[in-house]
Amino acid sequence: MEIRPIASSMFRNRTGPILICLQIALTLALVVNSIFIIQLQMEKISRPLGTDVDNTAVFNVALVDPLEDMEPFLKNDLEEIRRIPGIIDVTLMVQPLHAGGGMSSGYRAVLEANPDRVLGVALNESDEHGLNALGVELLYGRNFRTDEVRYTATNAQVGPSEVVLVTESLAKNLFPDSETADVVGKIIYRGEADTTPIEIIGIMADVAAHWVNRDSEFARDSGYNFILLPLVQTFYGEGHYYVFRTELGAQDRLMAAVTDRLYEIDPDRLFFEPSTQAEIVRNSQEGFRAIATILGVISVLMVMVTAFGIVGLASFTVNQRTRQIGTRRALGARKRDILRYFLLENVMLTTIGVVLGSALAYGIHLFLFSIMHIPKMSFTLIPAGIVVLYVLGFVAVIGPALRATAVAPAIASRAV
Amino acid sequence: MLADSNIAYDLQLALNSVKKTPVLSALMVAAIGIGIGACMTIITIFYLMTANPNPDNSEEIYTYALHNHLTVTEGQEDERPRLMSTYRDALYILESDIPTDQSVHYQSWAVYRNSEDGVNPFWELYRLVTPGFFSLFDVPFLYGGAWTQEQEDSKAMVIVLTRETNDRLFGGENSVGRTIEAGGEYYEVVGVMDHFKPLPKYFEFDNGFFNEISGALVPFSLTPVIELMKNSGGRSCLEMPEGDDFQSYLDAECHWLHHWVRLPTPEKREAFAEMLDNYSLEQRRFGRFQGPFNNRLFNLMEWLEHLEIVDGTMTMLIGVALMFLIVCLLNTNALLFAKFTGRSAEVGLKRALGCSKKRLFRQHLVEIGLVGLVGGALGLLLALVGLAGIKLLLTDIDDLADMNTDLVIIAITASIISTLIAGLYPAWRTCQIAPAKYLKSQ
Repeated sequence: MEIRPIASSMFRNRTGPILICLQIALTLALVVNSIFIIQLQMEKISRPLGTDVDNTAVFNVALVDPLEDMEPFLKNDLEEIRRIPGIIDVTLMVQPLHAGGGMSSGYRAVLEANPDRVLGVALNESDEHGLNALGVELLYGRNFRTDEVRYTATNAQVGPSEVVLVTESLAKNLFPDSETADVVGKIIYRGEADTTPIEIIGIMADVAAHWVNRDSEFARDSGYNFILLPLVQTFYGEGHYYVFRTELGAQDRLMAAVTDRLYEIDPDRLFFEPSTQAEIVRNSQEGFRAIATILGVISVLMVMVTAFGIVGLASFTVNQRTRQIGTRRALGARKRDILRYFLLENVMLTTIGVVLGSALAYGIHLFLFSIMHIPKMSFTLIPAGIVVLYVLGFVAVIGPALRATAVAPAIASRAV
Repeated sequence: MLADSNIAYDLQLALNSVKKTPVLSALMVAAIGIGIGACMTIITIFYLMTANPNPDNSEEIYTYALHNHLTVTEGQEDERPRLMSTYRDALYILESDIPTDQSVHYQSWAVYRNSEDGVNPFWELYRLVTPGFFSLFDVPFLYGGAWTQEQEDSKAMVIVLTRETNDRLFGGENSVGRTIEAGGEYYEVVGVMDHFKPLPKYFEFDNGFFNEISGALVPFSLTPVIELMKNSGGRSCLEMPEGDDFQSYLDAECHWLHHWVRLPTPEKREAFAEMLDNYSLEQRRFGRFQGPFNNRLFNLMEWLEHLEIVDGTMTMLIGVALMFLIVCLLNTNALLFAKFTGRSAEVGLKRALGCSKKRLFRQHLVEIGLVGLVGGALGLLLALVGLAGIKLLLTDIDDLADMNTDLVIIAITASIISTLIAGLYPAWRTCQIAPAKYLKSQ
């Protein structure tokens, strides 16, 4: 093997190789950590939301001159929208779902005041059409009855409701010892000390709380703690959110149809950013995508720059050693011996680089772990990164190395 | 020879050298450009996030956080105080004459119209503020000015429009003295603001830190008159309001107001802090705040730090960008080494012919500086591309992602300096060459 001569030659011209090793090490460390963070972002974005995101639209509408009593007007709007063919159902919500923020409150399963038993729960409000309009399945119990839905014209905070729908996950979190189906009919209480009994009348399939994408432990444990209250706020606040689900593929057409119909009923309206639920979700996840994209771009650039470095250094070595290569060829070295020499040199550089880089990758991970809410990294990423760098080194060095094999033996005898 | 022509000659040599090794030079310029570009993109965002948005007043203006929890929970005694104020606490503190100026504010939404001029009604943010808002936060005016304290106290129906709203309602004319309708009430316009976009927008934390304030502003004292509840940004209630009416909401333990005060001297600051503590103790006697009283007073920069606008993720991105720049410089360093070593014979010859080490060293530095300059220019272009990309990725950061001349200068300087640092050692090493050795091998 030629390890000894290569090593001694590297040792003599050590600065260049040391720099490339360091560069490989840093590249490995950063790329591995970047990919880890990118994976985390992608995982967060891909967490299921539980509603029919792709076929739901959200219209934020207000009247220019609000009526004293909005209830009949709103009910009529909803009835008219529901009549449009292709609309599966429509409801009124207090705020859009999956918007990255929203209302929340604490609930507990025991009557006595006990802050330790309070669970964080995301809230939303709708009429009896909520489940159907969102495309959420009712697993056990029943939906709201029409007479249970309260219309409130006060702009006060939401008081406790007597009946609620909870998600399957919340049912399990509130009553860990019960079968989910048996949670129907159970009583819960709001906040740390409120004693108004609230009955769980139905269990719905999981709907994501607005914090589902966050990194914290709380988000992981409570990501699907969600309650739907039978409430419609008719006061003139941010306007009203009409949420409707459409048949597959008909969303664009039906959004236009709903807009037209609403203008027909009363032209004196303001529409604020009518949007699809999918757009709302995309906006709320924008930050995660941005981090993933920025890190992705930097990683690709870094790999490129490192490849430049390897190419540059190798080309230079080949040029510098032209006579030496010629001499070796004249003394009987075959082309593939020359090729092997350069490839082996590169493998040695990469090996030192990745050993340093693995340690550095771990160090950076520990640092990131201390400043961000991230889980511990799975260490399969480091070997994967190492493989990538070996391949990269090979690809980068193969060109200059092949040029080296083309050096004619006669060059050895020629003066420079 | 004159010094000038020396430099010119060095530059000529540097250009020749670049021409002789076009690939290596291009790789170096590309590496520096990419490194500076990535770094400057992230640093621009960081720089603007951490800028002082109100340098004239930042040492004097404070916001407070009352530790006003109604219950004490075991093990949570050190819980953070609430960052927003309740209506009754804000009113109490507003009465104090310790601060020389105060701003209590919140925002909601309203329909605006100016029916005389046939403008379509539109929906915009709407703020209720005390007149201190304009002086504490250094609000610029285009026409007119803020309402007076007397108007505030007498609940006058007056309004200050933002420039954008004035454009929409009055086509940008001076509208002082005109009447508009907002949220079903009629107001007399007393002032029109000029563009007001402190970055970050520090005086509230309701809907992003990087947007221009929009809509219009009316006296805070009108809150119980027009019964407009906070409808943008957070509010939280420790106890539900007792009744359904607006007064119950005002009386309830609900946190929704932002409150800033001007305390121009350390004595005032002391006095104000003491006043907060006394107030807390007094409220405890009434059965409200159960303490412990971790009341806090933040000046502007402390407040920004507390808000953690620069969070772990941002720190991570900056770290990544800096390390990336290091990788690029290592790369340049290695390439320069390679390049200069390849020139040993030439350097040896020059030395033998009497060229001084100093002279040679300078010649190399000029060459390195040239690479740095071109790399920096490329980096600047790439940073502009990067910022445009970030604007696409983060729609709410739009206003933030603009380079200014400071940053351009920083980028070019950083590029040249870092390239020189990367090139110093290779250049020095090359100049140490003993002439004899290289002459021999010829």
